[in-house]
Amino acid sequence: MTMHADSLGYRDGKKEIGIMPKRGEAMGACATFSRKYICCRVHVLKSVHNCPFECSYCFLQDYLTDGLTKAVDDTAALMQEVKEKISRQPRRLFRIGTWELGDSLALEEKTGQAAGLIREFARLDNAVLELKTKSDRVEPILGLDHRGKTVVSWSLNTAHVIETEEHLTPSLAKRLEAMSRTAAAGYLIGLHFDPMILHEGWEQGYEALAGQVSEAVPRDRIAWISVGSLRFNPAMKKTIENNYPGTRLTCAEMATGDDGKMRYVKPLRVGMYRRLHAALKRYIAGERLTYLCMERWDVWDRVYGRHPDSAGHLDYLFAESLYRRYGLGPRRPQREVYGM
Amino acid sequence: MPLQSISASSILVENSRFSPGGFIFTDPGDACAAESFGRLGILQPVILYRDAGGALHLVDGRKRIDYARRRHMKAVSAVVLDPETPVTDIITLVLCDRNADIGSSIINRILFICFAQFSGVPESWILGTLCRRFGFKPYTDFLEDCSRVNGLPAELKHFCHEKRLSLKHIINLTRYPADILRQLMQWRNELALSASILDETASNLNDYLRGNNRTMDDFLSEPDVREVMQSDLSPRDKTARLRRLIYMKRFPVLTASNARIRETVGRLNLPDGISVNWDATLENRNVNLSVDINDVKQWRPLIEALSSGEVEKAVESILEEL
Repeated sequence: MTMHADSLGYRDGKKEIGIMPKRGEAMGACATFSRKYICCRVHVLKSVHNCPFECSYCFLQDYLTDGLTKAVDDTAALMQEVKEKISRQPRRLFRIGTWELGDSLALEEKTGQAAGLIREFARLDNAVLELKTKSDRVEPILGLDHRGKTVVSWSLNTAHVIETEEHLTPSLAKRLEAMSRTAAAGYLIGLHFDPMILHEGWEQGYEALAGQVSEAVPRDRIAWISVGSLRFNPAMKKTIENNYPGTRLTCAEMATGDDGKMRYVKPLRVGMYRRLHAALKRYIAGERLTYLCMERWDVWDRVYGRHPDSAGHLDYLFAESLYRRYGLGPRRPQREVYGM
Repeated sequence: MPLQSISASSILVENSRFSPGGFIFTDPGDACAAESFGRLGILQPVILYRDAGGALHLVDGRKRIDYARRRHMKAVSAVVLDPETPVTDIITLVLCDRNADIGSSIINRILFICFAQFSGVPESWILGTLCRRFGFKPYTDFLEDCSRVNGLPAELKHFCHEKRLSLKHIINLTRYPADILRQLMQWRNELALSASILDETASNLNDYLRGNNRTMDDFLSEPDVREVMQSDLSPRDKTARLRRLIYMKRFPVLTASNARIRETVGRLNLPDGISVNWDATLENRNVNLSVDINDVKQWRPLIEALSSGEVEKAVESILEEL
């Protein structure tokens, strides 16, 4: 329970966990900075801060000014804010994730935070909790009465990327096993193929990944699939190179977009997305809600042949899909409720 | 402290424990001091440090000692500090003595910090006194940066001093492998290198080599690189060609796409007054066609040229590329 954050660097802070009270506003929008990129309008609940894993591309290494790993222990205070905010728009479905500044489950055995939130969200009509993780620490949540109101999502990547860039994280096999057990416990599953990373053999790597996922989880339990590519602020290039001198992430051909983030140049991104899209169609057939995370309208068009009219439209598509397939949400979603 | 007459030959000057000469750079001689010595001789005593073994290390008075040596003077007047003198006091005296040199460039200030560390000065004093005096942020991480700067190739450190590179540029250079930096310094007389061109070239070259598993030697043996570097171009033109070449290798997809777009635009043979612009990063799917006129009579022919089916097809082709 040490809280000497000032003396802790990014790496040192990963070794200690501080439990902290809720301070200020915890729930906000996960918004992109530019209207040229389509945002899914998920909401975020800042309940964890820093992460025990060491992904070389992680933005936290450049973002956090306080190195300590922390979790908010006051679930009641978090939920009071959530309830107050979602009650202002009772006709819409909120998706609320706890992963903005850390991993939703990696610390669960020590904090029990996710379990508390799962129990609380089980009682809400117009909100779904998303726990996004790279971990395999699902044991503490398997027996909970979640009532289908929690989506447990995995950030997935090829075995090569996990081995070379996602340091200290469980292997793909362990993540998939955890995913199977979680689906078997009745949870909906979210899949995040993000960040896709170019590497030798990436084509076969991501195709194989789609195949392995399809074997690990029944397709009717897959609530949504997101796809995105490596992106970071230009200033982070140096940070990544300093923290992970062996990485080759930063020497790829990238350009800075209108949101100030560097991404692979568009032809490379489109090529990656199309390849994965084809593999997902092959392995995870049937109805899927698949979307691109923080991508341009024209990239959507090139990959899917269509794009949502607006962020509000994509938000509505989520609500519509979740209502129709799983009965989630207060009532049949109305497009106008979700705005532009 | 009493003045002593000390044999000039017994004083450690270049090998003095407190000579920052191996660290900082000194600009050409001070004509004013030479003139003063010539007219007035040595007025002030030098300051020496006697170590536990009795050796005398010069602390303050390098120009006076040099003058004494040139004049074959047998002894000089000196203040001798005893072995227990705090190292911070001695470094302060060195700083006062060499203030003009140390303050003449950012890298000299950084290297003086390294010299202070090398001399055994406590980190807290360096952060609290030296960093503040030099206008550097007093963080431990900065001392690690200083150490990396000190590890740069000697010729590059000299370049940083000569060109008076900023702190940001100097620290940036520490991110690049030594073989790239050494090669850029070898090219120094053939290229027109400014601080930003040096940084850009090192950055793109480093990314290209890492991304393609190539070495500096591989790069140097590439025919197009040899052609540029063996050409008789002026340093300025050679620099421009080399930068372009490295950019093309570093950004092959962007280079190829933009070349195709330029070719498409070129084939249109548009009249002067019409320009076609696009986002060279390919991020924005947008073509900008603009018309420049200074006489209303130019309007109709330019608009007719823009309205042709060829232009429409070209725009479609460019949008497809973006």
